[in-house]
Amino acid sequence: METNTAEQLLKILEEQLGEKVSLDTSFEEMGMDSLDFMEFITEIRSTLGPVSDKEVFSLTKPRDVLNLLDAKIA
Amino acid sequence: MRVIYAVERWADYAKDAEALWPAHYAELALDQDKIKLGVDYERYEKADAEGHGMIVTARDDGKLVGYFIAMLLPHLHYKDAGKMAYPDVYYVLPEYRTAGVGAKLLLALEMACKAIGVTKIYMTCKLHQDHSKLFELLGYKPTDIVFTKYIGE
Repeated sequence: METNTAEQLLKILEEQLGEKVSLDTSFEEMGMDSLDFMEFITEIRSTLGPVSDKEVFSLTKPRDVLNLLDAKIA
Repeated sequence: MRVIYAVERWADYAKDAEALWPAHYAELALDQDKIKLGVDYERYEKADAEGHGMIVTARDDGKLVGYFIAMLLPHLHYKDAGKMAYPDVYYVLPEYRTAGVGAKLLLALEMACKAIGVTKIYMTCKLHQDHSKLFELLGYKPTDIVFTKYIGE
């Protein structure tokens, strides 16, 4: 399940950014502005699972999102 | 970068914000040849003391990197509808316009407003720095069009 979610996460980012990134590349390093970031969160919410507004504050890299989604599945 | 978002009192915010205001004004203020920057400390302090001001900040290791000030007022035509939040000013340092800092600042404002019973938030932006798409992703709906006209001498 984790691998599948991780792959989907990275695919979403690759489609959005036009380049491959790793789970540990920070959103800052990706050069995401607020619009990019919220587009990414919106896509995650619609395809992978709920992310509350409060949880958004702890997300600094894709791995944080993966851990959050995995914790909800477990 | 580890940005913390918080609600602050005017005095705590203002002492650090003074350094950011000139850049904020230069980037965003309209009619700069006629309307100069002149922050009214007393009125802000009064609004804060009376619970009419909401100041949400973004700080990186203590350094102020962004702020949103909203005025909280009951609408005169909807006196029983609770307080509504009207944007006063907001700004994020250019080098921090990444990793969702601006979006998180708006979310922090919304959470802080919700926590004290504010029922509606109005949001605006300048046409030369259009954040409409971000606002819509955060759940805001376009409802008004604002026009301005300078009529001073």
